[in-house]
Amino acid sequence: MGAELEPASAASRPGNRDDFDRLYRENYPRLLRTLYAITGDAAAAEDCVQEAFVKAWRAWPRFRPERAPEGWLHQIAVNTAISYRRRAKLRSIGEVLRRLGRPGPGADPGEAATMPDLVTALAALPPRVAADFVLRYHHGYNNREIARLEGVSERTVGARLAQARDELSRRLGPAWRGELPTSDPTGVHLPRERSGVGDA
Amino acid sequence: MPERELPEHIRRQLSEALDGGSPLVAPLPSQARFARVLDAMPSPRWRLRGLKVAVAVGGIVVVALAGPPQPREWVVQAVNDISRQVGLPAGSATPSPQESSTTSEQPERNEPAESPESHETTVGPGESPEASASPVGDGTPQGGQAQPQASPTPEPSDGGGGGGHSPEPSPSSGG
Repeated sequence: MGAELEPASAASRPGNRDDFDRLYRENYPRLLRTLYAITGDAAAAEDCVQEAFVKAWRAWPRFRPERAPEGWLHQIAVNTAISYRRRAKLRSIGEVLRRLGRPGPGADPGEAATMPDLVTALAALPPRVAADFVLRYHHGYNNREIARLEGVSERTVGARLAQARDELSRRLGPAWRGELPTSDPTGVHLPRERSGVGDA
Repeated sequence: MPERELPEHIRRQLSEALDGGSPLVAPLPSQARFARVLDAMPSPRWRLRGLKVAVAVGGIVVVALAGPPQPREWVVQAVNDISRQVGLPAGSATPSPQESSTTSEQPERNEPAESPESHETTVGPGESPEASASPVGDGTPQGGQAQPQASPTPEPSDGGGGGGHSPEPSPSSGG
């Protein structure tokens, strides 16, 4: 697992099209699911991932090889999703102001029925908190790897995960609060195989 | 510090929710949006040319709008060029209406750079310069007693050179 977070090897040459294509194939599924948890909308997540790769491609000639390209892409994608959420919030505020004083149709019942409660709850979390939660419990990264990926401390990652568990347990039930591992007395965490990397 | 784990059924629920809403297979890199951006990007050479053109146009606009006011020297320059072509010294003499009527045979008769010499060359050989130079309008001698007016110009065919009479009558005195 650590190989994915190693600094860019000679295979990740800045400006090289083939290397960027490989990064795209390897990182697209993971980024898509992460952004799906942030935006709560599959189409918006796909749009944000594509937009993130456009930004990354433009910056690819200036990429510093001493950095992990996966973390670099992750930052770009999360920032793109945050911008999307901000724009969506502004749109919703404008919509509320336009409908002020008039009876509105309300929420689309079909959309509300098809959107899973879990995705809705994830999308209600702060973007970086939701991203860390998905990286940790869906993609199988441990706290240290997430901290390296995002360039923050492990303590920050732990605090974000605790916040996510609290929020989700309040919305979805106490099982989401998690449990301390009992089968691993050494404290060494062996994450499961990542489902989001390399399955494209 | 041990990291909390989620129960297995919760993790499965999370995976189903995330995998159910998003496609599992990424589009091919050639179909991705960044590939279209790559095709639409101009080559560096054309970008450099465009930059040069933009800088040149910007410079012209700045000079035209923000530069010092340009006097209309090109008019004087053009006139001097034309007068040099017709063999006249350059100057800024203002032509008289009479000049324009007497120089009708010249192609540049309306040009303002006519010199006084051209007027003198068009005077007829039989005409007395007094006719035009005299302050008296008709210049007709009255009963043979009329004295010719003193002319600032020498009389052309005087012969002896000391006489005060004009040997030739004015064209207007024939009647």
